[in-house]
Amino acid sequence: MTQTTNKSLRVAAMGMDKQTQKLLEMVFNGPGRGDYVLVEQPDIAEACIFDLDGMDASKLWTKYRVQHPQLPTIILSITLQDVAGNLFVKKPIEIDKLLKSLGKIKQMKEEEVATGELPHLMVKSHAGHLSSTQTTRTAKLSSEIAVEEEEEAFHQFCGYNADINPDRSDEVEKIYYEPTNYLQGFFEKAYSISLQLDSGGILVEGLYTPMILSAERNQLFCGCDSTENQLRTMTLLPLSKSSHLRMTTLSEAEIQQRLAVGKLAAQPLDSFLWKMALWTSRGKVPKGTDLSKNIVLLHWPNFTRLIVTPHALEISALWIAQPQSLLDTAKLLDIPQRYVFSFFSATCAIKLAFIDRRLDKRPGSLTITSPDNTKRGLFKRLLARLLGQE
Amino acid sequence: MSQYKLIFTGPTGAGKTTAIATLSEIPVVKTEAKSSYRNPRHEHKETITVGLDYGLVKLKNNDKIHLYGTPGQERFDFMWEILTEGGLGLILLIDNTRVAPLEDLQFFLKAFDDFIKETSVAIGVTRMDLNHKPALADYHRELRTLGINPPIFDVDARSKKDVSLLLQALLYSLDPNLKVER
Ligand SMILES: Nc1nc2c(ncn2[C@@H]2O[C@H](COP(=O)(O)OP(=O)(O)O)[C@@H](O)[C@H]2O)c(=O)[nH]1
Ligand SMILES: [Mg+2]
Repeated sequence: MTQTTNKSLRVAAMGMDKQTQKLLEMVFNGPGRGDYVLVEQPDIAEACIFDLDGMDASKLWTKYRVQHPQLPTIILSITLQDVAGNLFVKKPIEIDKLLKSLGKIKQMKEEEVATGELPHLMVKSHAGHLSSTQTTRTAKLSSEIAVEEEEEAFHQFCGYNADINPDRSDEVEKIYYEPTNYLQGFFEKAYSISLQLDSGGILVEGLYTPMILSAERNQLFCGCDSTENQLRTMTLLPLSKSSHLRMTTLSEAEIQQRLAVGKLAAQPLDSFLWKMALWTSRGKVPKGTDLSKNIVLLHWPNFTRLIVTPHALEISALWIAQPQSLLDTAKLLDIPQRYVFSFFSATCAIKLAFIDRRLDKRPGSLTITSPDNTKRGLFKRLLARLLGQE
Repeated sequence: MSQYKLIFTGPTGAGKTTAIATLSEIPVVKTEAKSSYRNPRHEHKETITVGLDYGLVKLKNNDKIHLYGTPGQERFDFMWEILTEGGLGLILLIDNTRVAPLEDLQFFLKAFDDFIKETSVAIGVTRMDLNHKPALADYHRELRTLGINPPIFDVDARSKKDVSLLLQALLYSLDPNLKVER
């Protein structure tokens, strides 16, 4: 598969469907290259990634645990699997988390070697009878699992980044990402081209399923068997130069032809691009975004059909009434910067917002002008009521 | 305890009654509003009665928000000025399956022009599931020529979430600085 370097951790993949296997290969050949290598058999592996959602997974698991009671294992599943002594990565697979989990195992292995414990001791023990190595691991890992599970609802869209100090360039660097390094950039390009077309659309190939974008109809067609989870994992994976993504323009007749042949499901294109931008940016903004220039929001996003991230409505109302810079928006509304950043990235992706490059923001007093403050209390109560907090 | 009102308007069939019902704590009732006006074709004043949809939201501190749905018929438009007096804001629902939804949009925005200038409007385009043209982009173009930029969403009046988002957007338009204390 890939050349093995001495220090690469040998990892086996078990119970996986073809698509998940493919994703793992991309991770191992991409960001995990050099540190980890996929091997075919658990017998020669130092760790294992086990998909508990696969066919016959529980049978396979029982057998696997009898044969390899000591092998450090990362469990993949859509639902929380708290199996003592194993790391858990919730699907959709986040590359960061998977790499973090692999990193923990690697570190543990290295520590074990350093302290003289034999990492490859293949004790044929009965399930439930744990060796001392296994017991130490269990204790170490279960505390990790608790932390991993502290997921807030919007983490996958807005990340966890703390507010940055704009005067510190090292902090400012951290909030940028380059959309063109990800699937997002590729799709934005396809979207731009599709916008130029009078009719027809763009065919995207090279993903796990072909997709057709039509800006004119605001629709994206893709294979019925594709799932959101697969897509999300793909969006988090940096595009390598070797990725085989292609786009081709299709005439309206060609689109019709393809729709007639294959089972393709349609979804609104703007919602798709919006979601993809949130997944990819996770609280960051596209590289080059000026944090202190005003934002132009062309109009309100169609919030009933888009993911509404925290404070998105307030930010929209403010930008429509009184354009602000990203940093001042967070300050004025007194909200975490990452919510302003992720909302901006999403609106950018559907070409609804951009930076007003014309003029520098005039320094002035930072206040929100609202015409009639006497009803604020009432509005707040009604809002709380609508949000189910009263 | 104070009394406030929110106005729902739009053509017949746009989902006003349905939207009010998703928000109201009481079953929506028809209520009557009487008004006297001078019919230009007659010498004397006339009193006429129109049916309004009525719903209610009660807040914790006993403030009441009355939800009024206007009758869709255009012949009652003289009523609207009286009805909107003291209102908090306007929810305009447009039925996308009608013959000329963009003309409906123009008509209602014009009819409620003064009220909108005083307060704010949020627009829900309903029945887009049945008819997707005109698209929201067409509405945006229309609104641009009218020189306003209000929230406008694809709304299913039967969806509580949609109607709630529309009303939230109206509130933030009225005052972007509405931090909800938790
Ligand atoms: N399919 C569909 N039906 C809707 C939608 N919004 C409202 N309706 C239906 O349209 C009908 C008319 O709604 P109604 O509230 O009586 O309209 P009103 O005349 O403005 O009060 C009702 O049967 C609603 O359930 C929508 O977005 N899609
Ligand atoms: Mg009605």
